[in-house]
Amino acid sequence: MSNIQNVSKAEWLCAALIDFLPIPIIGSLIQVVYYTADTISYWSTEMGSNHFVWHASYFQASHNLNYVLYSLGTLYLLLKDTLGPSLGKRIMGLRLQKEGNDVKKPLLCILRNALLAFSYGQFISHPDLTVTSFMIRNTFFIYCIAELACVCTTHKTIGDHIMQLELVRAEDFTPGKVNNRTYCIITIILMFAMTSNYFMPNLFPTESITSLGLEQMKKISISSVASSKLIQAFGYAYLFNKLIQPKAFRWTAIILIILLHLGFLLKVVVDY
Amino acid sequence: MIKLNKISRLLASYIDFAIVMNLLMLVSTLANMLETKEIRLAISIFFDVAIFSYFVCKDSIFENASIGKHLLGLKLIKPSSIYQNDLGTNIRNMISSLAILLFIIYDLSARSFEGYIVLLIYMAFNAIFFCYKPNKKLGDYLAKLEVVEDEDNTIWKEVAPEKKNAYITIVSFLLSLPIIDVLVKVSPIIFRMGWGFSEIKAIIRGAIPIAGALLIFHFYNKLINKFVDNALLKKLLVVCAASVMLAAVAKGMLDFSFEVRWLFR
Repeated sequence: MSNIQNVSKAEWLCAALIDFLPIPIIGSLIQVVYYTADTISYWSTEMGSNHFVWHASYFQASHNLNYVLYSLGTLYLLLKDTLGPSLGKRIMGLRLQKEGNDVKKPLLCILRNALLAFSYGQFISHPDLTVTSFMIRNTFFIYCIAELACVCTTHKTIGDHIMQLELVRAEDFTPGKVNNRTYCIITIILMFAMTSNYFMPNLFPTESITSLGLEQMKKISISSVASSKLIQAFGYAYLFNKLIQPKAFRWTAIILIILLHLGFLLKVVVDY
Repeated sequence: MIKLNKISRLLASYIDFAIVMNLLMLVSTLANMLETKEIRLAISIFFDVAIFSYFVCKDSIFENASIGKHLLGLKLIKPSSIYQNDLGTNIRNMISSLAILLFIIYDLSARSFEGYIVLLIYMAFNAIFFCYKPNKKLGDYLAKLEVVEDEDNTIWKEVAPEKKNAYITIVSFLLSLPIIDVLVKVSPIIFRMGWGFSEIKAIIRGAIPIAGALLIFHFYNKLINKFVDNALLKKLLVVCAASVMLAAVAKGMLDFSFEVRWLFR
């Protein structure tokens, strides 16, 4: 029990976020390939005259490629704990246990991760802008919030509860290598990667509003823009609160970053 | 003379500026939601006058320091005079206030994007001057003022100097993110407003997202290298940041191609 209490929520969150890092990396790399190929084709097809024909066929091919790669991402989330502790757990010096012993059966880990992988799989398989898709995609976020609430109150994920597993600190881990500031940097990077316009189309239907046509703009749900701004605002406020020592400076920074985001959010809402 | 931290000097200005811009954005957005035109106009005028006054008098709030300067432990002095709290600070602020005034005029005539451009030009001009005359903005130079560390300020007394630098770096970086974000987002709108110089317009419109992405990556890279000790984690985070930024640059290149295609025909 003492081992469980030793693992702080920040460590748990950090390990989970590190495990999630390959997903935005894959997403962004797909975008790099797609946009680069599109640019090359643009310049090579008689200065753009046949580009749109090529663009349509390439878009379809890239769309299919997205599915393949994101399916691999889902598979990764499902299997990440089967070959010993996952990447995040290794870096944070944690490991999974069942009744005081290391988990030897891969099936237990697969079942533990099943809910997360399933909700993520549902999420990425509905990229279009219909209401049903949007509802399904939001289910993933509801699951993530539920998971977070579960960890904050009981120090265990939903999967851990179902499979009766616990997260403990590895005895041979040297503490101090990953400190509070590091947690913050990881959170910043992840938050930015997740809410970035260039990755977001694959997560939320929030391709930069200005670059879409009027019809598409109407279809965009304002809640996804709002949620990304709110996540950013409160995430940064949390970081300032953790990082900054002098009170006056800390609170000014927190108020400023919240106001900045609320202003942008309000503007988007009014424009919408 | 005490060597002044450039970032804290810049962040102090940024905080003063951001306080006003935030309030301006919030109030003007809320005012736009009102249906009565007269009330909307009255609110706008009242608020704009308040902002203008704030910008002229901001360095008198904490004797010789604005809110930003006070928080960063700085103050304004006039080396050539024994009277420190004089008209000089207000004269110094007149230049920035004039830029704001132009912004207000555009804002009142509902052409706020041009107003933003005026402000950006002012800021760019100030930045160039700041680099040319280290730690002095145009107003400082004209009013013969200097910004120095305030030894009586207690806010940073118990903080180690290297920690102070780290805090300031992180805060400046995080506060600059939304601005870059907005700049990248609004650049296509700004340049769709029928200004002249089409070639330059097209190139800037294509180049802003690329420059923004590279700037953000540069900051992230610095931050990761400074604070993350774990080698594996460091690599992982750099790869993540780099891939997101590469995607942004690739998208920027595509937009850039669309913008400048007719220049090569």
